[in-house]
Amino acid sequence: MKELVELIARALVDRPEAVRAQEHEGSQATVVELRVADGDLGKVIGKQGRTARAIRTILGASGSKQKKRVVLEIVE
Amino acid sequence: MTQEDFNNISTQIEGFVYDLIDKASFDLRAKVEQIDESTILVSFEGFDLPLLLGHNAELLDALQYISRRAFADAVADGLQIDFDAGGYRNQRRQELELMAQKAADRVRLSKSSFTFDPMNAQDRRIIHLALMEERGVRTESEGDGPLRRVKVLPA
Repeated sequence: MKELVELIARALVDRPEAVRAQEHEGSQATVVELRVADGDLGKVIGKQGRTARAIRTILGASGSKQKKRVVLEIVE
Repeated sequence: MTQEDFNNISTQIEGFVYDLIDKASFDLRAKVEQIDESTILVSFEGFDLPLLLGHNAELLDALQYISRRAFADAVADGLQIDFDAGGYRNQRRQELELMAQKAADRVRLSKSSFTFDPMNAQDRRIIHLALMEERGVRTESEGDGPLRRVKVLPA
């Protein structure tokens, strides 16, 4: 999941080298924390959160293949 | 965009889509084609098509959206990036045109407006176009973001 989030985030931002994702395995869900350069937050969130929503859809579908619930947290 | 740029971007999109499928562990195969001088079509097949096309193709649209954002500079230069699978786009258009027709009939008969469920811009556009020349009705959109919906009103 972490690698998937990093792949997508790096493709969207101006500073791919600053992209970091961490994965935490919870009892209910896998939480992926995404960090990007300050100036790139808008690139991963998008207008009205549309980009973040699309990333969550992709993560959710990927997680469902392993019967896992995945939560994306974009750290500001 | 020169043919060389176009080939280049096409190869990059192919690489990105292959990486996405791989990292997401989707059981899908993608084919990337240049279908005219400014359009790249990415089409999918494989075991995970139901996952891709469920909920009005939410996943297909998410992948298309992310790819368009990832290649935003080329898109701004006029490149069209379209994702499809199993003839979904065509089938969806026919379904929406039928829904538009039914809504128009209903509005003409009842003389009161009808509001569709929220739809993405692509789907709303198909409804608007389908009813553009239709007598006795007109269409508008209302609401914001993911809740934006088409309304059919008596003309």
